[in-house]
Amino acid sequence: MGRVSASSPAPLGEPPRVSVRSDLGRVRAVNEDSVLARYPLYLVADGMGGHDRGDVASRRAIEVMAAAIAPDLPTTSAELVAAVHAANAAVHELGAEALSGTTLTGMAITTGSGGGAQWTVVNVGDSRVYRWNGRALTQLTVDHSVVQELIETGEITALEAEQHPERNTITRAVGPFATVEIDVWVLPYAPGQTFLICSDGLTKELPLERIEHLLASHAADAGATVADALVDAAIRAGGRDNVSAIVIETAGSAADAVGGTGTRDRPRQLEDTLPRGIA
Amino acid sequence: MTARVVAAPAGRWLAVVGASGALLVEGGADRADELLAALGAGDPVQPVLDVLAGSGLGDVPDFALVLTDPAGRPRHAVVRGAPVVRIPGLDELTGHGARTWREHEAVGTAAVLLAPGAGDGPLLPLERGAALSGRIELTATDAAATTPEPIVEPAPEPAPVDAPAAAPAPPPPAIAPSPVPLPEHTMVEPEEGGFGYDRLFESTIVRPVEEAAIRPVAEEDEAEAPPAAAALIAAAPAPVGPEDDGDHDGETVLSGSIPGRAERPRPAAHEVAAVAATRRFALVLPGDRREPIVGELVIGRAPTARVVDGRTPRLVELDGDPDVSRSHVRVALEGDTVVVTDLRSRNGTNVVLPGKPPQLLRADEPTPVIPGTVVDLGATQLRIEEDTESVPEGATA
Repeated sequence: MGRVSASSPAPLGEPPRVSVRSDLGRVRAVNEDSVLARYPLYLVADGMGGHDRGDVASRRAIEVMAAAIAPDLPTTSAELVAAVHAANAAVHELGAEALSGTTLTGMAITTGSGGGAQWTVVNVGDSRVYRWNGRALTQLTVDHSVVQELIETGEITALEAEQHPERNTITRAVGPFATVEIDVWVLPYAPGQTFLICSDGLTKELPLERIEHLLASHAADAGATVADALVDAAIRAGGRDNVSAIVIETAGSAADAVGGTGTRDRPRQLEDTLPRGIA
Repeated sequence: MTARVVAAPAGRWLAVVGASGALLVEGGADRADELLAALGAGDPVQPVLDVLAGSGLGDVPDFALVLTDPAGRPRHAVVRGAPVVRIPGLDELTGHGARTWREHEAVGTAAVLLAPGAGDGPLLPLERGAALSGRIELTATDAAATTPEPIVEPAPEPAPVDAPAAAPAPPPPAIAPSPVPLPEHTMVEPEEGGFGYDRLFESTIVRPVEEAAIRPVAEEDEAEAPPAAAALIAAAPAPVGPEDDGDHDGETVLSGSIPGRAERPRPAAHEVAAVAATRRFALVLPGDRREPIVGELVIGRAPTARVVDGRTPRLVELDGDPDVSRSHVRVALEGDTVVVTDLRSRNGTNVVLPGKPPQLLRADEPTPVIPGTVVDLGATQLRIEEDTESVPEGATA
């Protein structure tokens, strides 16, 4: 329900434009999702656990992350990863009486080894980070879920996964165990990038094409933010789980990229690389 | 136990998987049958060593042997020479410091046996047999072992054999209680404070993959909520009820890959990269931009790289060449050698060693190159040069 827009300077011109929304949905009594969108760190945590422990777990994880990563300055991949380990330890301590855990997924602007800015993406669990290129979403994270395992081994298809009895079982989380294995990726920070970070309450209610349509058709001058539009659509579609979304847009357009030739926003280049000879 | 081997030969390394463990041995192909038989023994260490030391202790090849318990969990490792064994949560197990071999307690839920120079490739299941490969990944199939549910009381319900014999005796009671006997395990109470029946209400629960991935779906449906909750509690290293009924293993689906494991770069890479390099190299990009080759560079149109063990690869963006894939090629310093790996790029990568014809790299296969080599990405060429100047500060990965 929070709405945040970053206001501090980014290393590359303006800070990203950010819209955020986290909502209870229509069925749950408690919002077990927690979000953080404070330059340079953007995170979604989807808590779980009996007896309403999930909201405590996700909130605790976000608190620890917020305390570990100072606002307004780019951080480093190493600090980010250390913060996730600290969050795991903190949530694990909560579990003394009752087990609890949370997904923790998101990205931060970090300083690369060459001194330039880059994104570092971290993921534990089945919340997701997508990149949006204006036409299609690409999932950057890999879910730590049973169905993802089964998809990877060819046991089931992505379609079957949606109905699979294990669809809500994740294989990694922040908190249940003393240690946690974290997926980490780095990617370039550039003008004109758009990313979506969301909990499964969004992706389980809305097919990917629907999310893409909403992103593509959202008017900049609309009353509601992009995140509002996405979350509202998920709630209308059922809202069976808590729904959280963060949409991040770096300033400028792709054509402004440093040293860029402007070619990258030609539509065909937004697709994957073309086979030689066809281009 | 679920065993997988990487589908790429590494020198003469042979991967052998048997009932009691897995073995990686250099040049063992001529003794594969004997080794396979030895790995079927209850305690295969002696039989395996007997085969390997058949022509005298001095001739024992390098090897790594991991023994597993009936649930497929690693429990003991023997390593000689170059290969290593990795078990999550333990230091790397090596043969360092021993003239013969070293034995290690090696208790865990998964293990990777790795020969030097092992390539990357698809991981193929190998239940029992031998293959030319430098990498074996073992994953325990211990759902049965770590969930309390299957402490199988040998199913009271069916007793089909003597039923006919005794048939006349028990006339089916007319008061027929539900004809479908409730399976024993659904009676298990979910643990207080666990995730209980959450899963039935679209709640997310967590279960470590080692046990999550292998339970057959059909059984899952019956056993649903309670084992899920229980599995979490028992999840950790979880000691076992001794009676692992082998019958779960029969159902094992080959999904043993632990996320993240398969994508890990060849361990040989960071191993050696950690050692201070005495030679320095640079990658010369279009426009004479020079990137020192320190650690790992990932080069592409919009590169994305995975961070492993805190080593962040350096991203090198190439603008303006549509033939270049987002993440096209990896260039890394391993020890004193520059290694080039095509990252499954759409249009492929050629390397041209000085005075040699171009060589198309196979995807994901690290290839050592020498100074003067040109890495050809299509319209873009990169050149490997030896750097005589010192590496600038801050260039360390």
